[in-house]
Amino acid sequence: MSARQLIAVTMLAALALVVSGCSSGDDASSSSGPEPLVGLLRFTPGSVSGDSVAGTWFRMVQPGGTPDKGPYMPNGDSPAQGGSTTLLEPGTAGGLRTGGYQSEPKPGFAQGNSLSASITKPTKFFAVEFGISTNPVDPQTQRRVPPPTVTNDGGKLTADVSSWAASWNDQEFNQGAPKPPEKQDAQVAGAEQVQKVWDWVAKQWFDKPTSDAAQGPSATGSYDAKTRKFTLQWTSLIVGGPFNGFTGVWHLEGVFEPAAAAPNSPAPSVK
Amino acid sequence: MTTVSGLPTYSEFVSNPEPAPPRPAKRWPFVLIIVLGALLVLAPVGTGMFPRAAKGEAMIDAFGPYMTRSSIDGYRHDLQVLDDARTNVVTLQQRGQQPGSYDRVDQFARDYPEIHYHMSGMIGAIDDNRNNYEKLSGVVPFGTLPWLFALPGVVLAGAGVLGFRRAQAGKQALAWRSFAALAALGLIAVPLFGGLFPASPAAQPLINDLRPILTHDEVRKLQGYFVTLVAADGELNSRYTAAVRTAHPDADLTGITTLETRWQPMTSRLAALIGAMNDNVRNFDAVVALNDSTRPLGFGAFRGLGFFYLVPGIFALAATVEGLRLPTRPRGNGGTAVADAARAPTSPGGEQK
Repeated sequence: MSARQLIAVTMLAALALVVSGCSSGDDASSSSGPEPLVGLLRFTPGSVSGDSVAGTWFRMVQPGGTPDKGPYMPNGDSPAQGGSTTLLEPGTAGGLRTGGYQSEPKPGFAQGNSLSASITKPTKFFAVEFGISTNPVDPQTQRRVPPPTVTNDGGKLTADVSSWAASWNDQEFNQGAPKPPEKQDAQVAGAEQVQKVWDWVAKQWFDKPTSDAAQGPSATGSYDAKTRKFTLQWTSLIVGGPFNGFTGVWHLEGVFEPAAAAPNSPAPSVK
Repeated sequence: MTTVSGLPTYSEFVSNPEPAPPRPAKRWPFVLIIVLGALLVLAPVGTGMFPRAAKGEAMIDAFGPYMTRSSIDGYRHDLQVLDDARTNVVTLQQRGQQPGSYDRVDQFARDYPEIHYHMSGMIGAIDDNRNNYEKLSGVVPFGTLPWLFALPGVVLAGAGVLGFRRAQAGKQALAWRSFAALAALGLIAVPLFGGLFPASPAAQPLINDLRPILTHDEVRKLQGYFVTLVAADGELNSRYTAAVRTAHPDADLTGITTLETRWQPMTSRLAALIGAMNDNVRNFDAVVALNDSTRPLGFGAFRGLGFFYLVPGIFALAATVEGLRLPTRPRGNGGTAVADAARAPTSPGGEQK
């Protein structure tokens, strides 16, 4: 091979490498894979127009009903859809923070009205205000739950909101998706300590999942990367307590604001 | 005197007697102690008493706030407030002062007599059993009851086995008898100082009266009542009262406005009661199952609960005392068995029989 030919081959090889490098970079950018949305899901307030609702809202399905057809628990304080839908407004934080908790203040109630005002503005439900919080330990089930996480995969959202907790009239209701296990039954004296030791050993030696692991479908939704508009919805069966067997239907809508992970400290008390 | 080399003389034989083999001490008391100990360990395990008693304790704790005089009076007052509000609505309807149609208020007016009847019966059943509940809640914590069988049982079984071995060696086994006696005294003390005898007659009527109430069907029915009440209150609050006031400014709304002012604590109490009932259905079922575990013997477990501790305790205590006297010493002046043996007749060959 002559020197000229050698130079030509070398240049072609270098060009091929550059082109292949560029093309691989393009592939990576076009299918970057799931990405976590860390920041604030700022809510659009719920609104009603005729029989249709928009923005952020909530429904409660009575036992035996379905999320699509009800029968719904009629909220006499809501003007939307004959009370079957309760419209929600953003709370003091503007909405739901991912990557951190917005915990229930202590005390959590004043005359039955929820003081959890960070995520949504406390909203009347049968003349008593309910609020939303996310907590490291779920107030109803007493299970450890992770902070909310939302993952965007090409415009489709999947979210872990197992810590989503509603509080109303001195009562706590886990309304998460996936669902943490229900509150543990009464334990034989001493069994809890043995269980703790075993859990520690099991986790250390066998890498087993904890018994607190949530199960069931996650929240799902959509995301427009250009406008950062999102929707997120899920259903959550209430297990235990006065509304055992009722199902909450949640629809969040708004604009995502990227930010650092939220702090884990409890939200300050309001009112 | 001629001697045979290597053989002891007669004087040597009688002056160096061999010790008598020890006579075994009485062993059957230790067998009884072992059997009692094993039964005390196995009985709570076999009857599922450990988890069931823990659930019973959880249920007693959960119902504490609802079994007080003031709580029951509060629920009765709430029902009266609802009654008055319903009477107010019916009066307005009869006088033609209800403008328009209000489905949820109408349903409340229609269904409330049944709701009142049903809930009054439930609250009455709770009230009737307040004394029974207080007796049961005065017992040592339910969750500890199986341990109060099993732990003395382990001590008895262990002391019995070790004492038996000592008895075989002819010893009195005083230490193991002492352990067994302490366990036996503990068993006797549990019902006497733990309040089991006064509580025994209280359990069965409480179970009988709560059995129709603490079911999932009953909770579902109460939830339905709750939906009716809150829906009606919502409509009264948001539309009805204002409409009546606008159309008939002089209309009497006393019953409805009283309901409005008392609504929040009323719904909170009602929701809490329904929640406590729902969350304790399984606990109550466990208590019933525990009580029924002795049905094959012809009585409920709670009725015999005190005796389940007392009787084994008395038997175990008696067994520890039995045989405490020293083994009977052999008869004879010399006081040795060998001396007696020496006096025994010998065979012509000189060998002892």
